[in-house]
Amino acid sequence: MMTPGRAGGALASLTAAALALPAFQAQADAREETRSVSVRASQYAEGDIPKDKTSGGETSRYDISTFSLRATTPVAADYRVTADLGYETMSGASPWFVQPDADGRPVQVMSGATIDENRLDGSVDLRRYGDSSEQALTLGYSTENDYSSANVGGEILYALGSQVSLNLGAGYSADKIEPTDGGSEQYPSRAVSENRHSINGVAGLTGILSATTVLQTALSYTVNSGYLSDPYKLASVEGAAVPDSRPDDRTQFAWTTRLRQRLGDLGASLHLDYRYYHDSWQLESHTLELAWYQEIGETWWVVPSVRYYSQTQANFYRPYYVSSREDGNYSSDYRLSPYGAISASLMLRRSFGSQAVSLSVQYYDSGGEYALGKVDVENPGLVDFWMATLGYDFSI
Amino acid sequence: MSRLLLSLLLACLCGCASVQPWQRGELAKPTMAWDPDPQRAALAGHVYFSKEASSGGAGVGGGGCGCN
Repeated sequence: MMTPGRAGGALASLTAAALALPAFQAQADAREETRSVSVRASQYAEGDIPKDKTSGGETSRYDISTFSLRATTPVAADYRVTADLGYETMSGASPWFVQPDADGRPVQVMSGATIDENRLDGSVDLRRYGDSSEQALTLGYSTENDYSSANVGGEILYALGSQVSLNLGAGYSADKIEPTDGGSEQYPSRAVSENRHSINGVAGLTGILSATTVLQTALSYTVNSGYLSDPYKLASVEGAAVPDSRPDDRTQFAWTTRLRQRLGDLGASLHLDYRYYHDSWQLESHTLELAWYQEIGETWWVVPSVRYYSQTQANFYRPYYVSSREDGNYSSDYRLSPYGAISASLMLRRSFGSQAVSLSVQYYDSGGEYALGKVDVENPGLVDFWMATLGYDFSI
Repeated sequence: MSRLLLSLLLACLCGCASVQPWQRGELAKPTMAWDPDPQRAALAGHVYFSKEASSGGAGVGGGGCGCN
């Protein structure tokens, strides 16, 4: 039997060993020995398009129900496997194309019929924890009636001393698109079968700035090639509706910086995330997210957060085209238009020993008035939505 | 832009204080994780990916979907 002094010393040694980790493992989510299962059920509902922004007819949009399951367990010494499974059902109408009204003001034409769709996706992540490095391999697959995607990714985290670590990663994705009714009598110009590929690389640094502050900064570069258009969208060109047509390559650059600041006296942690984005379609964006994780007692978390997003337009985007373009690229997709968005959310979490339940609610509002630059003509299809997520976690 | 990025990377490397292992208790708090709720973060990321033009920076791997 150990003496109290020896037991205390052993505990202190164990604690020190657990905390004597490189910068990338200094936080709680790394190298845990627990097995856990987590489920999330989410409901997403887009707001109706105002009647004065449509050509008439359908104004309601997408509703999406999502269920996701995550299981994670250590396997062998220093290895951990995490499996994710997700299923979602979507229903509703979506923006089809934009046309000018009698005054030249752009109005949205919605897809005539309600679209019903479901998607199943799964991924497996195998991670190895070394003393000064960590390696991960991820395989994933996603399928829906008209789309499938297979992807693989690898990541290495390497300690550069005890305060800084380097992470390097690479990923590849191969997607196949087989649009519903492609090439049919009703939609003869719609694509029948197309492919796209994506290669991605990430390099970043994580540093412990103080006993209460950690910072991570990373550069990401992605090369996309193949069919990058939306097969279900059209664009109005000189009064005629033509298929959405985008360049068949797109390179994307992102610089992400994340700060975590502990405020121990308040029992809180502050999260600050920023991303700068630029791509070869000359689209640029800024994203800023702020979250406050307030602990109340040993069991409650209250987490309010806000997010701001602003993007410029893709160089070939127009709400509609009064003349044809030499490069043949046309898109009136609201996602390529200039706009800004503000989002706010609140999460409550209560733990019960090895279990926890959580509930979060988010609202997202987008518009030309939120953009950093001046938006002369706002796309009528910009989206607003509500999302609520219920979660349950169990660990042993 | 490249100078700004280089400056930030150098600041990260040089600005790191020597925090001893026994001083890292606060960093190990669950709310200090990069994503304390990774599933919720993944769901939100998927929504932003399908409703906004920007993507990237949230790790490697992952594929597209018919939503975008």
